[in-house]
Amino acid sequence: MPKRPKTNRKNAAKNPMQTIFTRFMFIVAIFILWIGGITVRLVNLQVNQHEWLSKKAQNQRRDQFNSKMLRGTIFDRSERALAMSVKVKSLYANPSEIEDIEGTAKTLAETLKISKKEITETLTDGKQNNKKFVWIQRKIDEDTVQEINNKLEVKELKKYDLPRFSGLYWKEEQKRNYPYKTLAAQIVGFSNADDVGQAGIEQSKESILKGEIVKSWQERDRLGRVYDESEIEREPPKDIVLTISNSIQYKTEQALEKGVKAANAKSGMAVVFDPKTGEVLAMANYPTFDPNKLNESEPETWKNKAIQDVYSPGSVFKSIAYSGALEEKLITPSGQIDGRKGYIEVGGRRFNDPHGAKIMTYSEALAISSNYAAIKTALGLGKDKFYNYAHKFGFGEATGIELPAEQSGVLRSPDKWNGDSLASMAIGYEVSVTALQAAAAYGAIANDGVRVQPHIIKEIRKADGSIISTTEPEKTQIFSAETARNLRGMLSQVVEKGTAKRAQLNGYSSAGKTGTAWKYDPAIRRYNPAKYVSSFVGFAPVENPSVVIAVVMDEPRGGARDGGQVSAPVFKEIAEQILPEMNVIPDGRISPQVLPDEDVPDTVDGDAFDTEVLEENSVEENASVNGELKTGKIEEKENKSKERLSEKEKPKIDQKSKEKLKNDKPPDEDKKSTKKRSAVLPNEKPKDEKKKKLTDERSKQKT
Amino acid sequence: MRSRKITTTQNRKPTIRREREPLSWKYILLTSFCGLILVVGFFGAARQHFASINYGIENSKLKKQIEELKSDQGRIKLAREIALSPAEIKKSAKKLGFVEMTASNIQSFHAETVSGEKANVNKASINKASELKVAASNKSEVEKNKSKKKDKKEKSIENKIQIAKK
Repeated sequence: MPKRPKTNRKNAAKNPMQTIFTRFMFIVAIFILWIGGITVRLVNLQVNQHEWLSKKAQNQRRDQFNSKMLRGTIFDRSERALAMSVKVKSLYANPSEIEDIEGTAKTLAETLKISKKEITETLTDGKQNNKKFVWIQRKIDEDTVQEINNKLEVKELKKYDLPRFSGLYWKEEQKRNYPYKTLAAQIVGFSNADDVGQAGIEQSKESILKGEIVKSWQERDRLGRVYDESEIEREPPKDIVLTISNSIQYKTEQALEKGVKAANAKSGMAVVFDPKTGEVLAMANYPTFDPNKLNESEPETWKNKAIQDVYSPGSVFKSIAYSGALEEKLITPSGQIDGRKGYIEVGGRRFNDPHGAKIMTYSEALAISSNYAAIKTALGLGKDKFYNYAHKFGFGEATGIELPAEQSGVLRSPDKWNGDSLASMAIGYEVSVTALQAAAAYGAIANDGVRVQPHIIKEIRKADGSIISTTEPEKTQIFSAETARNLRGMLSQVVEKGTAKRAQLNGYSSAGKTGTAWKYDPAIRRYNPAKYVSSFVGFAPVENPSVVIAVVMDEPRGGARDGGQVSAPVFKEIAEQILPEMNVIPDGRISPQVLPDEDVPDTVDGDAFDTEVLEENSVEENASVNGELKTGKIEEKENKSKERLSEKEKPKIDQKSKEKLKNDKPPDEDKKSTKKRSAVLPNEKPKDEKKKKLTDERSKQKT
Repeated sequence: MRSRKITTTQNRKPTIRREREPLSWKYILLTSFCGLILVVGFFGAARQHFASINYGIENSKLKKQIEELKSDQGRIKLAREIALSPAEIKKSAKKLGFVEMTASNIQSFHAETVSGEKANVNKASINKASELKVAASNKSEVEKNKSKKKDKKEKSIENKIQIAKK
């Protein structure tokens, strides 16, 4: 038998393949152990320590910051931006990252042109208190930002963001700008450093204009480069379109400024109002301010006096009594009233009326602003009806305009009246109104008895231009169209023949009422005869009024103080400029000069509160305006200079006017115009003329 | 006992060991190909990762640029509004000699338009005349230009001749 080969285990173990396999398996086992270890560690890290580690990782690569969306824009009716926000940058520091505080402060002081001491103190304080955020300078414009970036560049520093200076960073902010500066400053208002509205539309519509805070994240690589960004989307703020026209507003402000300066008044306000739509086209205040430079302005000028200040309307309020009496068919414009007594006593108080001491029509009475006729008319109307009409006109309650802090004025209910209250109220005392209320009330007369609620916001729209809401004003018929027509005719007589001749327009017919009232002085708790509020509220053209303008002058301290001389010229200037712009076709006579320069008496006309009690002081008051007495020498000088001027200018003016008249008009008109020019005030007419007129009118009435 | 054991082992059939075949080239190639694909895949993924990061960086740069442009636009709008403010317009209009609009201006404008309407009656003839005038003036201008060009050419030739002589 052949011998079998001996199977030796040692030999088998020495089999190379077996050895390789064993070794391989050994290595695999080690690997498995290693991988197992890693797996265990990974599981531990990713499951047990997941939250802590993810936060840590996020903090390392992710920046989270909050930014505010740009505040909404305020436009005027012709899409011009009256207030808009622009992105600007603010410089801040992380004091813990700054090692050389002195050096940094020095560089910053040089570039930003601010005191080194201030910066050093801020940075040192920040470092000591371990602060990570300290403002250096806020809201810097783009050009300055670039300049600062160039100056603060340290080339050796590895920093991705600008400025390349350790510990200094930019933060994006927004700056509110008012490109038209002082234009409509009280309407638009202003916002503070934190972009929160503080006055005007900015305040009242804060919730609409406010930009939401947007949270956003940025992921950065090790070099600080941003490779991923995300943010929570928010609805952008809305824009507001006002009814204001920048051009009309500008013209109104210019005319008002001129008027206030000419009258040497404390302040002035004017409202331009569309009686048909209720849109406020302009609302001006003087003195005014620039919302871009709040620090340089006085807080008193921030107030929108046209809605926040109340005053006694004086004779402007007489129209209320007349409108009520016309509506109730108690009077007619051509009806006569006997005022020859020259005064009227109501509730034990005597109301003087030197100008109305004659037999006159109601139309004439309103034209010359007769206190007697107004009081008599109000008495005929009665307490309750007078109050109702005044209330219907919107007095005694806020108009509801979309502006903050609007005053409602004062109109007491009849149960709180004194014996003479009705008489006082008929001539515009014991009531107080705002300029806007007066304009809105006359708007009703201009709009055939329909009172349209004044509003200043035309529409609110989204940033993409789609309209969210448009304002639809409330309309109320307060008296008939016939009454309105009659009253318009009566008010046009005020301008043509009465106290408001200076409101005659070149090219357009106009109507309105002057008002001059003593100011209520809270210090002495009664009307102060040394302080006046002179106003004029009018509209044009008379037949189809396109615009109502209210002009109020607070404490005019010049020679003339009554509304006809102080406020009416402002009305004229505003109306003459804005009516052509509004494409209103002229309905009146167009001539280079309608009125010749009249000598304006220093005394106040029948508009003033002419009672017996107060009359004693009037002589002194007329002689001195706020204690400023004219000396004899000055008066003499002024008279001489006037004479010289008149001597020099007379022949020239005469020649010029004659030439112009010849060129412009036919000979028949020529005569009429000369007649008009030579016409004097009604109360200055010779007696014969008055008698003739009266007889003529009586014969007309009889026929 | 030992012998018996030996006998048992001796009787047992010898274990047959399969001879392992040497790794075939096909197998090696396939493995290396798979490995290659894996490696290429890894590289591809890494490349994509870095590319995405780069794109992200570029994207954020562009976003920043858009924001800067938007804020620039805002600033330009602001500058435009400042330039369009009535006070500025009035200043520049006065410089250009414009007059403020008044009722008398409107009337003169209306008068002009009325006269314009009357004039429309003879518009055709006037237009023809004006066209002829324009054509004539154009012709004369063309001729003038031609003569100017000729003069220039002659002058330049003369200059060249003079330079050549020198």
